[in-house]
Amino acid sequence: MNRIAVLLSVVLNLFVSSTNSFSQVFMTKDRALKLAFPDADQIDKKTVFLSDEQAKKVESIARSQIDSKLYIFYVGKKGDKTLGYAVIDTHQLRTKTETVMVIINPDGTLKEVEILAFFEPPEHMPTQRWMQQFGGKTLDDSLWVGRGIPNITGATITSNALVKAIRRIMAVYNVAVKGDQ
Amino acid sequence: MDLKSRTRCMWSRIIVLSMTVLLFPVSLNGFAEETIKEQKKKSQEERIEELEKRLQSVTEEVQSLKSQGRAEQKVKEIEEKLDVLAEEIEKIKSAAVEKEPEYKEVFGQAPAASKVFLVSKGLSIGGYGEFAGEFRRKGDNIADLERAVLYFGYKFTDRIIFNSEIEFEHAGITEEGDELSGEGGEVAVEFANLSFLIHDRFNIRAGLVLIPIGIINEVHEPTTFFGVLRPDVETFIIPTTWRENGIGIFGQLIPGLSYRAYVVAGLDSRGFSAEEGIGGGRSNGTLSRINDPAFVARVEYDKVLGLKIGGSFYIGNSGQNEKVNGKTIGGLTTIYEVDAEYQYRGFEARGLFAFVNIRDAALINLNNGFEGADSIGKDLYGWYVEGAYNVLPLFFNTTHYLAPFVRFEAFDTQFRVPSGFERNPANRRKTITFGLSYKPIPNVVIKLDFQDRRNGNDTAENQFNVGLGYVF
Repeated sequence: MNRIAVLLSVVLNLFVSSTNSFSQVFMTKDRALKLAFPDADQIDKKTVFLSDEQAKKVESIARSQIDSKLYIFYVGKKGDKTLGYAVIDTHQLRTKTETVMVIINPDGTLKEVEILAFFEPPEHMPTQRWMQQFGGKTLDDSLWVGRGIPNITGATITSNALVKAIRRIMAVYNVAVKGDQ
Repeated sequence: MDLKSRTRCMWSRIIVLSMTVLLFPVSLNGFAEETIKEQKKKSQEERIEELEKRLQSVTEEVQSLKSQGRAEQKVKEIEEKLDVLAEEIEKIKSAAVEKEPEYKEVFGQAPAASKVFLVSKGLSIGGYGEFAGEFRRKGDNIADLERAVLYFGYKFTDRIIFNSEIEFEHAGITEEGDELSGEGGEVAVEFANLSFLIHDRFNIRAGLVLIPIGIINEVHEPTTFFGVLRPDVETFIIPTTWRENGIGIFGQLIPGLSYRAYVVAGLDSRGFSAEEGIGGGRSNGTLSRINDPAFVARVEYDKVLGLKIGGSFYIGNSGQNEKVNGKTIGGLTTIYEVDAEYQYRGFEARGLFAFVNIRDAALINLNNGFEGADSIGKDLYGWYVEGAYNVLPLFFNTTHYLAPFVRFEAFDTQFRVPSGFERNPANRRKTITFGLSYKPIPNVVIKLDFQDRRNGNDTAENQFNVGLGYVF
């Protein structure tokens, strides 16, 4: 009898505890930004409108085409100190999209990449371990699937699209945000 | 005129004169005053004029200042508006992560449907295909649209998802008169199932499922494997694409460790053969006989970046109530399989080992009418290792991918046969495949390879393959 109770509680616990990573929207933008800059007392917004020239530069650095000349950088600040930059980006995978948050350190290195929403079937989602590899990466040749970044078997389209998006955002940062501060 | 009147006249003249003289200074004074006044008036006017001029210039200045200020204001306003627009654009682009919308009816739809309507529609489409050209010295050279596959998925809710793949093999079937003639082609549902997502660790899947065994069976898009043709071991020992009707559970036990475990329709030993092993025993979901169900499970570990280790286990009878000489065939079939994939920078490697054991092989032979060296194997095995390296980044600053690869395979579909039967050495096979994979973009692959095929009878024929694959 006791055993059944334990088993039941374990099963119930399985169903109730922790969030389900299979649901399609994992985090709203507001919550994500709070998690991106937990120490920030203020989150500013910096809207970047790329000129044609800048757009070309971004494309050549990112080595992929950009589909927008408009980027919003959320700047986490504590007093006068900049804690980092976060960009929310939505891009297409197969027919559906994913929304990610890319966080950049003030020194221009990647801090973290987080998936906020994912609309392709869950089999196409990268693993947590794979997502954890981006911390400290810089925008160089190794930031490519098949070079510094291993491919995800069965989720090739996701891994390629995500790394491209990261490169694009890093390139926009380098071209239009970095020098401006 | 008399004197009196003259004198009066004179007096009056004098008076006038004296008065004039007397008055003169006054009038002169007055004149002077007038002049001063005039002068004063003039200077005032001038001053006013001057002031006016100054005022005008100040006004102009003020106005110019004012207008500058306004422009600044305007610029500020425009900037603010641009920010608002930018934010709105972001909201549209990344609608999913915006604050939960207030649930309200949209055009008479219920709240749940409204959200789907506002944020995302459930249908997901994908697909892949591969063209192959196979060239041999003897026999036919073949150009084939091996497969064109369309993927459809539908998300009913966040927790109930439908997935399917519909496959046209060898460019489908044609109608000849009243008959459907495939000329080897087929249209098949590769899988069609419903997933019920409950928890990371425990979810349910039911329908026509891909058997979770080996590397290729579940992940077989042409961009994911080397060589035009799938590895022989994952064709003859683990038949791919192997799918059966069934139900099971899947999930991630701890980060990095995932599993799938299904109960499915078992193999049907009537389809077993000496050369192709258990492949012919698959029901592929067509009126599957489930007198004998089977259990299959796979675990995968990928906690180490770039490394994925997997293991699968399959067990189930394959007799499906077949009787021979009054005996019911059990035909317990067991498959053990382990595999690993590794990637480091441009280097990629894969390896797989599989072993199959079939009980009651002699009875199955009897039931299938096999004698002598046509016996099915009671033990089958196969392994392969392959390696590849993306060489382009070594020489060029490019995103294209070009990897030479080589694969060694050894397998035997008659490793052991039941007593009273013989092995055919032709079923002991070795294949060495080497070639190139070129991907201009990650979704398109052009393949070129040579296969050195050998068997124990020296009857195998080498072949040269070219292939084109896509995935979207």
